Amino acid sequence: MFIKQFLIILTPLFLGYFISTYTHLPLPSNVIGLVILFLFLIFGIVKLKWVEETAEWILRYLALFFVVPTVGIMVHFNLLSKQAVQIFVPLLLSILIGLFVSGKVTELLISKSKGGWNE
Amino acid sequence: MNNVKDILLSNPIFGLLLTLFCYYIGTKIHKVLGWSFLQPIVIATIMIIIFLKNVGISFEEYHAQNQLLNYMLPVTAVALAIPLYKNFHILKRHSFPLMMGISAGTITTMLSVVVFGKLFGADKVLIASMLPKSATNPIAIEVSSIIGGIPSLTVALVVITGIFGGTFGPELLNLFRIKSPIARGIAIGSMSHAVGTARAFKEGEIEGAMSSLAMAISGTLTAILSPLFLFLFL
Repeated sequence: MFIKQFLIILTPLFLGYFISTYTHLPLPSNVIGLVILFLFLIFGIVKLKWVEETAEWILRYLALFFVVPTVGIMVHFNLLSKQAVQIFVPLLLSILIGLFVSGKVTELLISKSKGGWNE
Repeated sequence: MNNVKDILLSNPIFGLLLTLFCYYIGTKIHKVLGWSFLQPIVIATIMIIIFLKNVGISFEEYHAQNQLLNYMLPVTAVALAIPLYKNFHILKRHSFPLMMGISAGTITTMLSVVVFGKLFGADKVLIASMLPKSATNPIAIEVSSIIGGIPSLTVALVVITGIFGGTFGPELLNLFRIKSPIARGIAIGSMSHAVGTARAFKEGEIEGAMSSLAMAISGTLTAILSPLFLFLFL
């Protein structure tokens, strides 16, 4: 069960690396893998139940896989304290603006398209 | 102290054990306190850094002992195809407002990083490191290295972005008077990936579903747009 699911999740990633290596697209291999798995699901080549359990297990513990790279921040303490303004002001402003624009645009277009929003 | 370091580093299980132990403690503390800014990953990171600094182990040495987790990083991005597929019927029915909302948010947040970055004197490497900050980590880390940022700095900024959006996102949306659950989910997922999505699920089922959809799409969009931004603005 787990082996089959893991095999099916690894295959699009393998193809992603393959495509990335030979096309020199400036796209991460794992994003290509994501798109390939999504297309496999859409076209019914892969059934949802073949991958669902393992994929959801991975997503549930997503943060765990990023503990190690986040600890890497210790290498940049100097940079972060010296350039705190240059980093954190643009970071926070861009989140505020993005949140506002994304929410407003969606809400505006929803209110314009009538009906069918009782999902 | 050097002795402790040698004993620990000569044991191949030590690094992974430290990561798992601290993350486990992090989830326990998070559960007890329930503060969304004190995510398990934050607690674990702080504990591990304090430990490594005290024993005198470098990040490279710690990193080398966690290959099992590092190997899984790219796999986690592929798994995002599943929430995308599960919510695809909603996307198909309302593709225009949803795609526009996600794209508008993703593009303006990236533009804001460039504009305010330059305004406040951040250099090219810093801006490149900040640019993918709203994408989910497996995507952001790769994008950062493609466009010449510092991947480990990006990872930290992604976590900070997620925590900020996950903690204050719903309150900020109240302030902006954005009421539709769909729009709120889209905004949170586009800006603050998985941490925001976890919060969105607490707000409601629709918010959560929309947020996980937005997270996958805005992450992919960030990956596609980042090289273009690099070419145009940096």
